[in-house]
Amino acid sequence: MDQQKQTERLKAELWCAVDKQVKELVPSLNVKGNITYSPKFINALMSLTYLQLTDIGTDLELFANHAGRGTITRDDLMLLLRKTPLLQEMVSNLNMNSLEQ
Amino acid sequence: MDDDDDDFSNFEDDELDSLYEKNINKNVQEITFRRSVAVQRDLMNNILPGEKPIYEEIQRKVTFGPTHHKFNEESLSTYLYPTNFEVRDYQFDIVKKSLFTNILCAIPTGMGKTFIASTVMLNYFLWTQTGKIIFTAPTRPLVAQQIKACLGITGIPSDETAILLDKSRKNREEIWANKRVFFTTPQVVENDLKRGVLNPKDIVCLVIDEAHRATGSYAYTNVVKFIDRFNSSYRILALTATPGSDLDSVQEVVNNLDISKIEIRTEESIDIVKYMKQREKVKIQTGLTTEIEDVIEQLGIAIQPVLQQAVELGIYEECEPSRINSFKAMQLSQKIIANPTLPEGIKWRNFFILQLLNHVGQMLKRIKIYGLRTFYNYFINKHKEFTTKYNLGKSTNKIAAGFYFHPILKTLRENCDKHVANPKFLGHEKLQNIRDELIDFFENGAPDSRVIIFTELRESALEIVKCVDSMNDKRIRPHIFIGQARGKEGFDEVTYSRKHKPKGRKKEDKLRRQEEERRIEEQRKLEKEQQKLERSVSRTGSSEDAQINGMNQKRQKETIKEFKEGIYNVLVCTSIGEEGLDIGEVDLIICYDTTSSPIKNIQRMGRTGRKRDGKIILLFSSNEATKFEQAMENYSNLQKLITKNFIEYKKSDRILPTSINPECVKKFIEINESDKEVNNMESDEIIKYATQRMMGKTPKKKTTKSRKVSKEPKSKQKQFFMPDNVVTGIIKASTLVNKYNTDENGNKVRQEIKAKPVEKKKLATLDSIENDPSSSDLEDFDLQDYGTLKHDQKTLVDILGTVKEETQAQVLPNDNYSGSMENSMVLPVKREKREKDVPQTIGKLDSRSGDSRVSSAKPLATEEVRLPIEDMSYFAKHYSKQDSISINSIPNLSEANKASLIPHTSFTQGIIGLFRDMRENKPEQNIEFNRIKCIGKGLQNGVLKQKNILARALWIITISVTFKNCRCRQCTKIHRN
Repeated sequence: MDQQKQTERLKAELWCAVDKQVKELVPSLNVKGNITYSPKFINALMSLTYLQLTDIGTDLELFANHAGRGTITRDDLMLLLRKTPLLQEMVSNLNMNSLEQ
Repeated sequence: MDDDDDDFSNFEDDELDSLYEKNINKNVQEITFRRSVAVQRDLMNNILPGEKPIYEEIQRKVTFGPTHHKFNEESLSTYLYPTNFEVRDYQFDIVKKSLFTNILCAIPTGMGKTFIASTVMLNYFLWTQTGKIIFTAPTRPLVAQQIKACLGITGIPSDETAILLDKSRKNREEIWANKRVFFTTPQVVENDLKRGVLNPKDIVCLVIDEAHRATGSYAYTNVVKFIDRFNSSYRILALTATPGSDLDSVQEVVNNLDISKIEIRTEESIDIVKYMKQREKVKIQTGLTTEIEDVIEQLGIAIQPVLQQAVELGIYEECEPSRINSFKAMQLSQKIIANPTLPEGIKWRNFFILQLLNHVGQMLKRIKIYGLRTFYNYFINKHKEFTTKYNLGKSTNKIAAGFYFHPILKTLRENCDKHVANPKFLGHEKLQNIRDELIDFFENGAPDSRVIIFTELRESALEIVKCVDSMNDKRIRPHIFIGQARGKEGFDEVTYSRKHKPKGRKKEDKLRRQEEERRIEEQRKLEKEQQKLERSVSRTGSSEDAQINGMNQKRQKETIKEFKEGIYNVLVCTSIGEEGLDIGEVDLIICYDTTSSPIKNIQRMGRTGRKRDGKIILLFSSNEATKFEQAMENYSNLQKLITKNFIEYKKSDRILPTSINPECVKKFIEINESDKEVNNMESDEIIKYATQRMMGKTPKKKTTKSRKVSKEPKSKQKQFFMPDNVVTGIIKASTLVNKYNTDENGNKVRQEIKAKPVEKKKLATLDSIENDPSSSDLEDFDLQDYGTLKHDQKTLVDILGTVKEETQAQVLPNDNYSGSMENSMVLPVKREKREKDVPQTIGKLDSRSGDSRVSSAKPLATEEVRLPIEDMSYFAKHYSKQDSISINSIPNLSEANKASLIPHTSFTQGIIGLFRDMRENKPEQNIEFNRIKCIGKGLQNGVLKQKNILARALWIITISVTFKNCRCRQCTKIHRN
């Protein structure tokens, strides 16, 4: 029960983030100003994101396990993003920023 | 000669190539014209329904390439025209045209169609070295006639000709192979084409006699259709006296026989009239005798109440009772039967009324046109049938009872009985006319003349025979001539009533019944014998016998022989005598009745006036005259229509190269003595003679031949004639789909890209890697903790090779592919124990499988499937043969194959499940979403505290990951953000 509530809460927060992001992004993508989105799209995007996140989460955990560590580090993330050097770079910058913050 | 024949100089090179390659030298270009058309619009400026804004027209341009037939080059410069007979302009014209186009030649009977056919056949015989020339006609006499013309006029050597009339002839293969000119029936040709005995590509000229029959699925149509599939370079010459009864049927014949032009001549055509034999046409309108008028009146009184009822019910138009039309009544009754909305009771009542009217109509027709006896036979038969049934209680038809039991019919019957019993009584005025005309004819004409009388009904034919015979004039000797079906036996009262009598159930009853039956049967036999004896005594006995039993072919032949010999000199025919019988020269035709079919009328009249002048007598009574005029007028209108180009023609191959324009050489052709005899022979003798010639004259030759045959393997392998350039074997559907690409103009472009040649060494190594598609089993696929998936293009070559067979393989030798081999799409997958990567790989493969499928059809368009250079170098570094599994044909995982049995990872399953649920609009999911949304809204509004800032950051990452493969501007923007 507690578990379910937690996931729900997590999803809700994700929903907020997605909603906000989409609201921010859509006008910028929208050159002609005629693109809208349905609430269902947010739902779907949220669910997808959630799935992707859990996937990434398990991966990261396993990477860490493999390296004989108990904590997930930036290296695990780098390993995960090994196929997308662009993102790797981005994430490393982001992490630096957030650390600085 | 023909300006519209194309020369080949304006052909593209590859077009010419394909022509030579194909041998089917027909080339059809379709040009579609579209033009916008003004349309009607409503107020909202919308096009009204049913309006088409575009006018479309498709023009077909048919061109023919060089033929595959071998010519005798030296003879091509001329064509022969025999002058053994007088040269007739129209024949000369038609021959000239039909040498170069497919002609339907419609000229009146006796105007030398056979001569035209022989001349065309002769010239094709001389022009080509091996081409087969086939003459087809539906009946033996017609075939014989043609043989006579061919051997007797044109002098085609008889050892090159063959007659195939009976299907029983054994060595047909040999005959088809060795001879060049064939006289046969269309059925034989059809059969032998289908059996593969006759090669359709050998045929260079096909002559079709009585071409108006080429409708529906008659053998003519099938033969032409069959040959068309293999051979477009052959000449068709169709001959007929009557191309059809209306424009549609003419068009059908033209379509079926690939006709390019109709050459039609009528008896009135200027160029024909001067050659026409004089045919005197006498029309005699006869009235009705008082006896007949009485009968009609009496019938009218009897039927009046029924007719009244029918008119009141609205099922028959009001008319005088004497004008009841059986055909109309029958049509109406069929309409009623077919009408499903009527209640059963009403339906059948109406049906019976109309049926009765139909019968009465028949009676009226018989009495008006054929005479009292024919009528009375019919009437008594119907009357007896009904009364017996009614009295036995099998029929409760009150309406019909009212008619048949009408008191006036009793007097009618008494009267008729009296008349029929009187042998001197003539049933119709026409009979008197016949007598007069015959006497007149035989007194004035030559004593060896012959007369044919046509009628539609057998009964009437017999009556005529009897009537003519009863004149007791020795100069006039009539006989009947009818088809082989047995005459319809009239209603047998005795048998019927016995059959339906109440029967005893006991054994003795049964025995008694059987005894009775036997007795009756014997009695009947005796009666029959008696009748037969009586008949054989009387002079018309043979005709009577024939009327009852029908005439089989043997009897028909005998009769015709006797007719020719003069034992009989008046032949009374039903429609069987109208066409195709070699009856010889007839000087007088009497049409006892008329038909509304112009073809039948013309064929009837065509029996006379062939070599000398003839006379035709048409006997009309009641409305027959107008019917006849109508039919003939329709026909002449049709002829006018045909000459006015209302028919759509097909273009035909000229066969001869356009550069050659043969000159006509008129020449008297010497015929060797033995073939000259043919001119004096009768049809059966001709066939016999020609068959002998075909088989080789001396029996010695025969034996050598038969020995040869016995040496050969008994059962020859069946040959299948295929159209040229067909691909045999098994073809994958996918390759059929994508044979062509369309370029920017929308034209079809064959997928052929030339590739640089590469050394064969590489090819060898790759060969070793290559795996059979079938061996790329799933177990290998499952063991994916190692594995380099390799997609090898080389195998595509193989797949293609088998598919496209040699044709393609020659064009695209293997070397062509080796160029792409360097870049062959090899997919490296790093060794990883992680299960998770497998689906991704599969996913990748999957995405590529689409490409590779396309590329299997266009093998050399490799750009799409190449890997980026980094990957290539990575692969080069890490690849070793041992740790590779290669998958040649990439399984399409999304479809139901074995690969679909591999479970998805939880992630993919999650995605699939999510979208499936969304598609199905599952309530649980909706509820969950709503709840989340509520919480989310709460969070946004600050009702709930946002705990996890990290969520956002994570989301940014994920969204980037999701879009990582997308390189569009927006996504890169996101990446940058």
